[in-house]
Amino acid sequence: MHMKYLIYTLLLFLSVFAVKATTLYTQQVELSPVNDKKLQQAIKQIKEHSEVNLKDNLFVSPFHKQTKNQPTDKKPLCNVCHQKQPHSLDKRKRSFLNMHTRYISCETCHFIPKNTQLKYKWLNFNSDSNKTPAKRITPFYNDEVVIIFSDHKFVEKVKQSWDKATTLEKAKLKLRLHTPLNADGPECLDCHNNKNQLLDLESLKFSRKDIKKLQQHAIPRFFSRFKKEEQRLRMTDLLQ
Amino acid sequence: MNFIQKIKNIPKEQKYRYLFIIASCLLFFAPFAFIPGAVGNDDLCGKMCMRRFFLYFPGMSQDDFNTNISIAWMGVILLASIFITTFFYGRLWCSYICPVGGFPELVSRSLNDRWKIEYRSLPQVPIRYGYFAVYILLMPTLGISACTLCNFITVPRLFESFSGGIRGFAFIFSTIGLVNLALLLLLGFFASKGRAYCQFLCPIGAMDGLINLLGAKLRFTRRIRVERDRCTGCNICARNCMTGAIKMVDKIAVVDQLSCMSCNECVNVCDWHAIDWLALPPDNQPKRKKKGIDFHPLPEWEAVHIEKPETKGLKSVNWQRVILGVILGISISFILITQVQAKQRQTDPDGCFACHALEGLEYIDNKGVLRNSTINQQHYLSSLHGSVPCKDCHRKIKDFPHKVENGEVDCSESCHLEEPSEGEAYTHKKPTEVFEKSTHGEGWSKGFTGGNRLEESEKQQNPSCRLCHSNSLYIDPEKMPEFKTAFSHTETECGSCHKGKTWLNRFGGHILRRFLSAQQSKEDENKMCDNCHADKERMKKIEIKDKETQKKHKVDKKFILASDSYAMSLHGRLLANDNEDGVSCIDCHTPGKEKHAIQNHMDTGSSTHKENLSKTCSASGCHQFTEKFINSGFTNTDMHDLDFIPVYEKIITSEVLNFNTGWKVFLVIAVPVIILLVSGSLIWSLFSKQGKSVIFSIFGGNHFQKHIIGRKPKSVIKKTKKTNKQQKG
Repeated sequence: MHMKYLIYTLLLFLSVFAVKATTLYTQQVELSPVNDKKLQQAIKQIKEHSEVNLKDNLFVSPFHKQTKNQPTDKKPLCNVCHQKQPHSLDKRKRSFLNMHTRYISCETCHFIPKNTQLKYKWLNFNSDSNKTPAKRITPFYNDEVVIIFSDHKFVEKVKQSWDKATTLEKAKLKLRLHTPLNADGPECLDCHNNKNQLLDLESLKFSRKDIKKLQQHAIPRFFSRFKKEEQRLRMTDLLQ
Repeated sequence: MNFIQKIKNIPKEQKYRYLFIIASCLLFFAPFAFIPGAVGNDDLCGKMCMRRFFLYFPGMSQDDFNTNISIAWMGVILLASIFITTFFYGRLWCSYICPVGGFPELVSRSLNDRWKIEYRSLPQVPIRYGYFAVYILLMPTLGISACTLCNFITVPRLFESFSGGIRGFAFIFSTIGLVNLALLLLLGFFASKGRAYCQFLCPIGAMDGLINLLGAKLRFTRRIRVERDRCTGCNICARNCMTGAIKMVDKIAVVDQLSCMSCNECVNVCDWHAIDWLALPPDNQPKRKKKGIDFHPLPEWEAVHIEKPETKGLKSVNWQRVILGVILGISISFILITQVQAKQRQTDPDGCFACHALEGLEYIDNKGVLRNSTINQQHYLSSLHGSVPCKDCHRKIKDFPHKVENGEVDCSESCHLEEPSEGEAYTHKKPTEVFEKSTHGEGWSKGFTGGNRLEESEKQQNPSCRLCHSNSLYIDPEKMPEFKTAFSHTETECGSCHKGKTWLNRFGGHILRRFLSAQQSKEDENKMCDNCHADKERMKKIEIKDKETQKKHKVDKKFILASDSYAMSLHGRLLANDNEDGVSCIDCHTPGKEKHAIQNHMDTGSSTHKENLSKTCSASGCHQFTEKFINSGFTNTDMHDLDFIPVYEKIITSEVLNFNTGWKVFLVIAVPVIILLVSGSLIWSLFSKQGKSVIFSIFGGNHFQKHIIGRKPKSVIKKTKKTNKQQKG
């Protein structure tokens, strides 16, 4: 019996040691001001929000063979609320943006604070060493991970206050959580170009061949040709 | 005596050569076939085939070539060792070992020359390489099997047939066998020296000749070489050369190394030692020399004679070289053209995989369905639809980026591929039509999008095309072992003619899959039906439309429990015990018919309709007696008898309880009988006397008592009582 308690207490300590109390993101959340106009918007969003249950594994299976995304055992803060396929508004780009979530953490694109130099490194989202590593490009500040996972104290605190909160409090919390973030991430060509990429691909250990491939990828350039949503391209146009 | 004299006249070395050939005939051919037997083959075909792994198929890739090699790996090793020995020692395989060429030679040599045809005067080199080019390039393209003119089948089969092998007889008396036999007779037995096949048609010989010529230019290789200073031009070597490789040019023997087989016969017959099989001595310089005059000059042996025509004009052109050059040029351009053409046949002509091959191309639509737009290219290309371009099914997509809803698919559309036997476009129109008339006919066959899977899953009671058929691989990984046994057979049987990975993947796989699915186990068939029919919750919701009244009614209990009641029947239980004598759903519901044509048992056309049951039960030789009128009562057997089902199953489905089963009859008859018996016996006990009870003898009672229970029957007891009384009295 005593042994059991001893282990529990040790484990408790372990978790404290393992999880850093604050990161750049949580600091900014604490500091973020509440804008009144944005607050109204947040209240509206919360009121109008309707839960959509993810429908996977339907009785009628897809015709083409599909490979499932390997689940990671670390759950980032964003995925506590957002689905693993978070982009849905831009019909044209959503699938491509969701594709990036396999290689890039949310914060890489959506957390770009001003006047702060972030470094980007690969981070394994699988803590289980038996699993194949799920590495994603993640922002680091002063050699510390900026993003937090669902086992972080901060997340638990947010969860608790969210469950108790009224609509107004929820809106405030939501606003504060999202204030450090940019709703619109970078454009395709901001990364997929020859000169000024957001990410330093060489320091991320991409091979020269891969860098060239990423920089000159056809799809981003293809998208850059479209100004309007309804614009379509005939196949014959592509050949010209 | 003439024959013995003839044998005696054979040079000693040549006798050894003949013995070699006889020995290799014994080693390679039936009935012994030691060498093929050592590698688990019984002839020179299949993995010992040396003659076809190098065939060119338009559009073949390195992979295809590797596959060919892996199929005929023994042949490849054998051919490689032949080439290596040829390079160093000349074509010893052809002259000393090859039983296929050697056997006709021996036969021909033992026949009287009067019967023979002289082929050696023909320009053998252009003919050989012309045919070789046709053999390698044109025949596979035209779909002519390389085996049609192959001596490596004919000669072994001939031996086999004479040693009593039925397969040998069967082959010899086939069309190809007879053609080959004719070739063997004309180019072998009745050809002068019997090597005409080797000269003109043998592809191994053609390649071997090239290697021979290549090696002949080096000093250290052994070849038939001529000492020009010693040659008297007597012509005896050329007359005896079995391949016609020696020509007299300016009264000096010249050996054509493309044709020479190093059989050494010329060496044996030359009286002047002007021709020999040797490597050049390392030091060719005369040892004593004085002012450029050689004392005892060493002979200058030449393997390859380079002709330098002195005349001008057309005669000065080496026509053999021109012809060979033309053959080579045509061959190379043929390969180039076909390769370019083959490359145009793209797997993804519309460039769909540019985006759709990307992993993780997902989104969640407004109904919450996780939509995965990634198509596993490797899977797709090796699937049943692998050769169908995306656009053939997704017809509405004409521009980029396409609208999501434009991905719609109609299964009854035809695609741009042609069905090879009929030349018509592939289409699923016929099965779709059959399906539409079937009891499942309201199921979807068109308008498929990834998104409306939700609607179909939740609202549709009938199966759609895609519910049962997904874009599966040619061969299910689970069936791979079964496939492999079939496939190894294919490699040697079908694969000996139809080569190339493309073929094996597309047609071989396709055809074999059909074979396998025709042999699909009945359990697998049932699993497909059970996917829906065993799901009771799903079955409960089903409504069936009455064809006459057009009214929809809920299904009865029998329908809901169909899978369970089937499993309890003998049909199902046999299958459950892996006994293929069991009967699957399809066996009765669409016997021998299009599998999509399942009908409701109330429809007169249905195989399970009362009127048709006798025919159905007797189908495929099961219960043949049912066709006789007198046995028609057999068809009353209920194959979905609910009485076998455990009671709790029935309680689950009690909301649609219909007492239309045997239970009702049982209750109506048995319950009153039981009540009558119980109450009767109670009443009887009230009025009967206390004491010994005697079994009623209603019918046969006496016999029963006497013989089975061993008690004397009542009447006997009475009689004995009487007699006892009488005796006492």
